[in-house]
This record gives sequence, structure tokens and C-alpha cells, in this order.
Amino acid sequence: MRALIPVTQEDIPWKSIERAKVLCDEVTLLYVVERKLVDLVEAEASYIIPHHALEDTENIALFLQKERAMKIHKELEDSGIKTEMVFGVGNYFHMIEKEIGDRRVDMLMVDRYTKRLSKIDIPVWVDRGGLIRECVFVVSSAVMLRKLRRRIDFAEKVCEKLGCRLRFYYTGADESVIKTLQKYGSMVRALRGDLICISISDKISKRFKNIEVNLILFQ
Amino acid sequence: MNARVKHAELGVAFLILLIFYLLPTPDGLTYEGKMMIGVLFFAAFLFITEALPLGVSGLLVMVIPPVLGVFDAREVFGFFGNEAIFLLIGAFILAAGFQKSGLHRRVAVRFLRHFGTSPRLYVLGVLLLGALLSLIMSEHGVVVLLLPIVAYTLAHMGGGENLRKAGMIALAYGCSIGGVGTLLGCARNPYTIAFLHETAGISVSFSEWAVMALPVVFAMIPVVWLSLTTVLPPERVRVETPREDFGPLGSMEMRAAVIIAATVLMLLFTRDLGVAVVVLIGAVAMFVAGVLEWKDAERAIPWGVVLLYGGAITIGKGMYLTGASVWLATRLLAITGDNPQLVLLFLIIMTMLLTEAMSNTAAVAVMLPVGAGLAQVVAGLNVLVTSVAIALAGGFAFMLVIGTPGNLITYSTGYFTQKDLIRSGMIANLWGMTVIFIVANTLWKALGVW
Repeated sequence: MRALIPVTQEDIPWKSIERAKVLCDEVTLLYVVERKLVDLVEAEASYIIPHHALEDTENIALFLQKERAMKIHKELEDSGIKTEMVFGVGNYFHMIEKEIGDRRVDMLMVDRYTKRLSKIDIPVWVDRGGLIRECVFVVSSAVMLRKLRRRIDFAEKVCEKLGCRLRFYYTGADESVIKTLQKYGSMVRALRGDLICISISDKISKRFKNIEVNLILFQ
Repeated sequence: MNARVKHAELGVAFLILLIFYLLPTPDGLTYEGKMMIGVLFFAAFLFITEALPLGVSGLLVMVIPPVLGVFDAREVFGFFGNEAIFLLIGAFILAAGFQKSGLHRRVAVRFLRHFGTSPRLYVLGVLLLGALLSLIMSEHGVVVLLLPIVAYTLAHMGGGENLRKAGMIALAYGCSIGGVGTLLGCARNPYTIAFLHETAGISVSFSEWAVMALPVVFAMIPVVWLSLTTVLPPERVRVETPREDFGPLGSMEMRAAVIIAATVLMLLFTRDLGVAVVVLIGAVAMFVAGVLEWKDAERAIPWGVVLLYGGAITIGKGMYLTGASVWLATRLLAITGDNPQLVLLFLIIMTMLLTEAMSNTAAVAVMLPVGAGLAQVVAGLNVLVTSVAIALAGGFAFMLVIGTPGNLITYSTGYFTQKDLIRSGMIANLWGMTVIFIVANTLWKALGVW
């Protein structure tokens, strides 16, 4: 399993990094220096600091940011995960989208959910830390059942890696759906678990975005 | 930022002027005074939004009063021909000589070695070094010069996340604190003495400024050090400063050191020549001694701040001459009351809030005429006290990344987050407020300033 972990100076997703050590075979570490920060330094400081001095300063700052990125990269490599590092200056979301387009990654791993992530085309893992013993997959519509197949496969793979049980929570009462789901795992009556797999478009998903439970959000 | 947003902001700025133009002139204020208050709000809005580069905003502020018929064009450009502008230019040339000689590196590394390997002492060393160098050259320039030296040490330590944060923030804070200490540390201080001279006829020499401001610098260093190392307690790691062996002082370093030392001594002990003349003699000596070539000077002068100065002095003198500052101050009394202590505290707090949102020089430019007006209407307060207090408070932007270029440059290294800066800056700002207020009420009173 290959994950994309985006990092900025304001947000180093340590929980995702720790989880990736157990969950992933490969990681693409995307270190983003926000373009708006570089532009801001230019805009705010150019009236008082000559241009050439600012350019030198920008290079030093980028060098230091890269050194930080290398440290995180080394930490992942040291734990035995094959890690590729991508370092760049740009817009956080644009760079994530570009990397997803350029590389074959199975999921995006972050510690904090933001609305813009709902447009990401691959599963988004939102890590809140802690041990995962039970994974609950939420199914809210019988119509979607056929489409769910790939997502269930993905969740099964995750559970296998983490050594936890996969269970299903179905909000409807359709017996045929329940029977189909039972082939993959047992059913639960209440929505619980250390890891919830849910569709972003599902109304119940809003309930989880701000609480301390690990999530896999599907588009 | 989006060009459309910038255009919209520029539109709003001109709308402010239009509103002032259309408003009836209140009792006790002339048309010129009303429009100068409009220019003050117009400038404050431009300085905060930065719809235009700050230097260009400065130019625009100079152009508007003649267009509105507030002042004659010759009068406005006459404001610009002040000795402070040459003091600024001379100070930038002197700093360029110091940098080109490489003396800064020797001074910084040697200085930091004295603080040993203790992380807490290293943070103190960075604070002190930034502050001391900012007494003789532009605080922002010092951040740029010291960044590679401090970063080298911080980057080559195993662990020590908090030490990295505290070390980098200490660099920004040290320079901000030192920058208020003398007339060479930043553009605000020369602007303030120019304002005082032009509006109240008060001349402040280099040493007089230092006597009033240095106690604030030296009181701030220990309290900021303690609060910074409390908010971000450095880990117990061994600090290794660069092991560079510089050898004996080189010829160019020697020449730069002698010129800078002689300039500072002349600034301290001569009064008749004037600050700008002394600094310009030092600047010319840098060329005569072969430390600098003309192209170095061309590269060293940030024209943006020179143009911003033009806008600042136009606001300051314009507000004063039209009586707008007194009129505005009279209205402000409803908020502040007429207790001189409370008014002074109000000015310090307002300046500190403004300086977090706009350029330090711009914040001081906006607040000086307000302070001067209040000094005229509040018994027991004088314009020297309000102006110097505003200039000092204007340098203390500790909390926000955009507060000062020093904060922004150190933040761009990725060593600390905005939250770290807000946490440590909030305490530093409170200390800054307290220290200025206490020094004004004790030392300045003892000196007979008020």
C-alpha cells in the first residue's frame, strides 16, 4: 500500500507518519512550502531589505525547510518504509492533486480534515492516533452496494495490515444488502469502532469530521 | 494576492478619501484639516491591506494633498528634504560596509561562543547579539545577516525542537528590541526625530535618544529571554557554535571596524554637527577607505523605505500644520479621558496593535500625529514623551508573522509555527507595554523629559 503524506511547516502530520510505519509499504512524502509564504516575505520585506539580500534569505529559508523535510524522510526510511520525497514551493492542494495525478498512490494520509480534501479522488485517511482494533464500514444505501466493492476491498486490505476486525454498519433494513455485507464481515447495530470508513457524501460523515476517531473518507 | 482583490482594496482606499471630501467640514476644523484626517485613514488602509507596495503608497500619500488643494506641491516635497532622509541613506551605506567587510560573521560567531553549550544561554546569546548589532545597523538587515549563522547552529543539533523554535524567534525578537535603541536601528527613529523637529521644533541628538531608549532595550532582553524559554523550554542538548577560525582581523574588516567605531563615538559625543552629517561622513569614509564601491551602495539602499518616509512625514506634518491632530485628539479624549498616564498607555497599546497589522514605520507614521495632538490637549503630557513612546512601541511587533519582516523571515525557515509566535509574542508584547510605560514614568521623569 502506498500513501501520500503532505507536510507543511504549520502541519506535520506526526500521527499519520507513525501510522504509515505500520500500514504502508511505500510512502510519498510531499513537503510543501506555501507559495503565498514566499510571496508574503517578498511583499512585506522588500521595502526595507534590498532585493538581492531577500533572494539570499529566501534560498537559506528553503534550504532549512528542505533539511527539515529530509529529517522526516529519514525517520520513515529508518523504520523500513520505502519513502520517496517530493519537495516543492506551491499551493498545498494543487501540489497534492498534482502528485496524485503523477504517481500511483492508494490513499492520502493527514491528521486534520479540511473541506478542500473532499475533492480528492482517492481515499483520505484522517488519523487521530491510538490503537485500531475494530474498523466499521458504513453503508447508507443499497443502491450504492455494487459501487462499494472496491472500497470494501480497500478496507479489508487496511484491516489485514493493522490486524483488526472489519465490521459493517448498515443504516437501512434491506435483507439482501445485509446478506451481501455479511460475506465480508459481521454487522454491528451501533456505530462505533476505532476506525470508521465512510463516504464523504454520506450525511452521517459530518458527525465524524470533528471528533477523535480515525477515518477513511471515500469520495 | 489576487489582482482583483488588490484593485478592490485600492478602490475602497479612494472611496475613503471621497467620503471625507463629501462630508461637511465639522466645527473647529478647516477643509484642509478634514482632508488630512481623510489622508490619514486612506494611508492607514493602504498600509494594512498593502494594495500597493509600501513605497508606492508613500508616494501616493505625498501626491494626494496637492491634488486636493490641501498643500502646495512645493510645500509637500519640502517636507521630504529633511536630514532624517540622509540619516537613513547614510545608515544603510554604513551597514553595507559592515556586511561587505565580513566583520559581522566574526563578531557573531565569537560573541555566541561566549555563551557556551547551554541551550538556554544560547537563546540569550542570540537575543543579545541581535539587539546589539541592531543598535548600529537596520534591525531587518541584522536578521538577514545573522540568519545563516544562527541557522547553522540550530540545524546541526540532534533533536531540540523547542531550542530551534526559541533560537529562531530570539533572532527576530532580539533585532526588534535592539532596533528601538538608537537612531541607526530602524527608519522609525529618524522619522520620529524629524517629526519632532518639524512640528515642535524639538531637536533630539543620538545620545539623547539612546539615553531614553536603551533602558527599554536592556530591560526587555532578560524578561523576553525568560518568557521565551518558559513558553518554549529548550531541550537539554549540547549547542555547538561554528568552529570557524577567523585568524587575525583582515585589512578590510579593520577599516570597517574603525569607521563604524569612529562614527558611533562621534554620534555619542558631538551634537552641533547633527546626526545625519556624522553618519554621512562615516558613509563616505567607507568609500574612501575602499571598503565599498558605488555598486555596493546602490544594492544596499532599500528605496521603498525612503519613499515610505516621504508619505509618513507628509501625514505627520500635514496633520500638525492643519490642526487636524489637535481636533482628532480632542475627540479621542472622550475615549481616553484626560489622565496623562492613561493617555500614554492608550497610545502605547494602540501603536502595538497597529504595528502588528502594518509596517512598523507606517504604524508610527499614523500614530505620531495623534500622539502629538493628545500631548497638546492633555495637561501633564508632552510631545517628546508621546512621540518617543510611540516610536518604541512601534518596534515591538512580537505576536504575528506579518508584524515585522524579521518575524516573517525567521518564520519562513519553517522552524516555528504561527501558534508558537503568538504564544511567545503575547507575553513579550505585554512586557513591552509594561517596560515602556514604567521607563517613561520613572527614568524619563528623572531625566526631566516630562
